[in-house]
Amino acid sequence: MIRIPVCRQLVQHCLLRSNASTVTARSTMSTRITAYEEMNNYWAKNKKLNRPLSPHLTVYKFHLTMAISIANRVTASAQQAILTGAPILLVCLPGDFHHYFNAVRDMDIPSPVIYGLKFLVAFPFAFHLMAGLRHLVWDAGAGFGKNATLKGGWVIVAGTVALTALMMLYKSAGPEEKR
Amino acid sequence: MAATRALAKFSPASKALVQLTQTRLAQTAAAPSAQPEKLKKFDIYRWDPDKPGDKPKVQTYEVDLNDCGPMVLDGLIKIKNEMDSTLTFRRSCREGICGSCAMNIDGTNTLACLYKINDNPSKAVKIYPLPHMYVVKDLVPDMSNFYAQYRSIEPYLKKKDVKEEDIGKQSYLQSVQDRAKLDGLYECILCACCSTSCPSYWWNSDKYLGPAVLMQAFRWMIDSRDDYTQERLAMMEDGYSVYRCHTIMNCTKTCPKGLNPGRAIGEIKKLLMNYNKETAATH
Repeated sequence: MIRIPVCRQLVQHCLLRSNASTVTARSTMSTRITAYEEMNNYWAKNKKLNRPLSPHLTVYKFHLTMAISIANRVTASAQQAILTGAPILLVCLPGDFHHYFNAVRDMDIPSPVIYGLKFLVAFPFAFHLMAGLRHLVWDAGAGFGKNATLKGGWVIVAGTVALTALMMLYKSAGPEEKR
Repeated sequence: MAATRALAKFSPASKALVQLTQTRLAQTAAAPSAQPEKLKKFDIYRWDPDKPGDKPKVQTYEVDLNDCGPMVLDGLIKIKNEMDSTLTFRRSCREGICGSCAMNIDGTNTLACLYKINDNPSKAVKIYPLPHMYVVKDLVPDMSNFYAQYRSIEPYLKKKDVKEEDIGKQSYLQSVQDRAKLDGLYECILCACCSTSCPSYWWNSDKYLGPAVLMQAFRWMIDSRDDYTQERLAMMEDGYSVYRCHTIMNCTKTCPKGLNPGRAIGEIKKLLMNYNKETAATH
C-alpha cells in the first residue's frame, strides 16, 4: 500500500528527467487534465445538460463570398453527375452517340427548351471552372484581402455569365455534317 | 458645428475627440427634455436553463434612443438596468479589447460594444448568441471547447535545449523584420466571432480547430524565437485540424478587429505543402 505512491513518484521523476532538456516538461502539467480531455468534457457536459444550440444558418446574413463557396460545391456535384452520368448512360444504351444526337435533333424540340438544357450543362461547368481558378490563386497565397475576396467574387460572377453565354451560343458542326 | 467640422479635418485624433464630445453633448442633452421619443426595437434571443422545458424564443424590447448610448452594448445595458434584469450577456471593457460581448448582431458576428445601433428606424436590432454554440443562458454561449482548442496548440514560446533553471535568465531577441511578421496576428483578442461565423466550424467543431485558433497556431509557427515549427506543423497534418477550411472567408469578413484569419490559414496550408515535401525527402 505504501509502495504505490513511492513508485508513482519514481516514475514521474524518471519521466521528468528524460525530458529535462525541454521547457515543456513542467511538473505542474502532469496534474492538469489535457486539452483533449477538456474537449471531451465539454461535449459530455453539454449533452447531459441538454442545452440548445444557438441558431446559425437561419440567422447568419448571407453574402457573396459565402454564396460562391456553397455554389461551388453544388455545381461540382451537378457537373460530376453530368460528366459521369452521360457516358455511363451511353454505354448502357444500345445505340451509339451519333444515333441519339440525330434522334434528338429530329425531335424538333423548341429552341427555348434546347437553350434551357444547354444552360444546365454550361452553367455548372463555367461556374466551377471560375471558382476553381480562384481556389488556385488562394492556394498560391494571394487574394485573401477583404476587398480582394469581394472583388474576386464579382470577377467569378462576371466570368461565369460570359463563359456560359459563349458556350450556349456556340454552334458546333454536328456529327452528321462532319461526314 | 461648422467649427467642429473644420477641426475634424486636421487629424484622426482630433476627429475622434470631436465625435466623443458630440456624443457626450448628445447624452447630456438627452435628459428628460421635451424631445419626442425615438423608439427602437431590440429583438433578443432568450433561453433560461432554470425553467424546466423552456424553449428558446425571441423577446422584443423598445428602447428610447434619445436616452441611450450609440452602441448595441449601450442598448443591452439599458435594457438590463431599466427593463429586464434577467437578460443575461457577457461584457467587460466596453471598448473592443476584451472580446466578452461577442454576439450575432443583425446577422453578423461582432462585438456589441463596437457595433452601432443601426440607423433604420423601422428595422429592429436582431441579437443572437454566437452561432452554433451550446447556450448557457440567453446570449451566453459555452466557450470551453474553443478555449481547450486554443490550449491544444500550445500558444506560447517553446525552446529546445533550454534547461528549466535557465528560463528567464536572458531575453530572446528578434529582428525588427521578424517582429513585423507577427503584426495582424498577435492583435487577436479570441472573441470567437470568426470561428463561430464559419460553417465548417459549425459542423465540425469537434475536430476542426477553427479560424481564431489556427491564426494563433500560425502566429507561433512563424515566430523567429520559437523552436517547434515542425512539431506545430505535424499537429496540423490530419484531414480535419486545418483542412476543413474551405476558404468560405466568413472569418475575415466578420472579424471585429479587422484581422485576416483566412489568410493565416492559407499560409499554414502553404507551410504544410513544403513541410510534407521536406518530410518525404528525409525518408
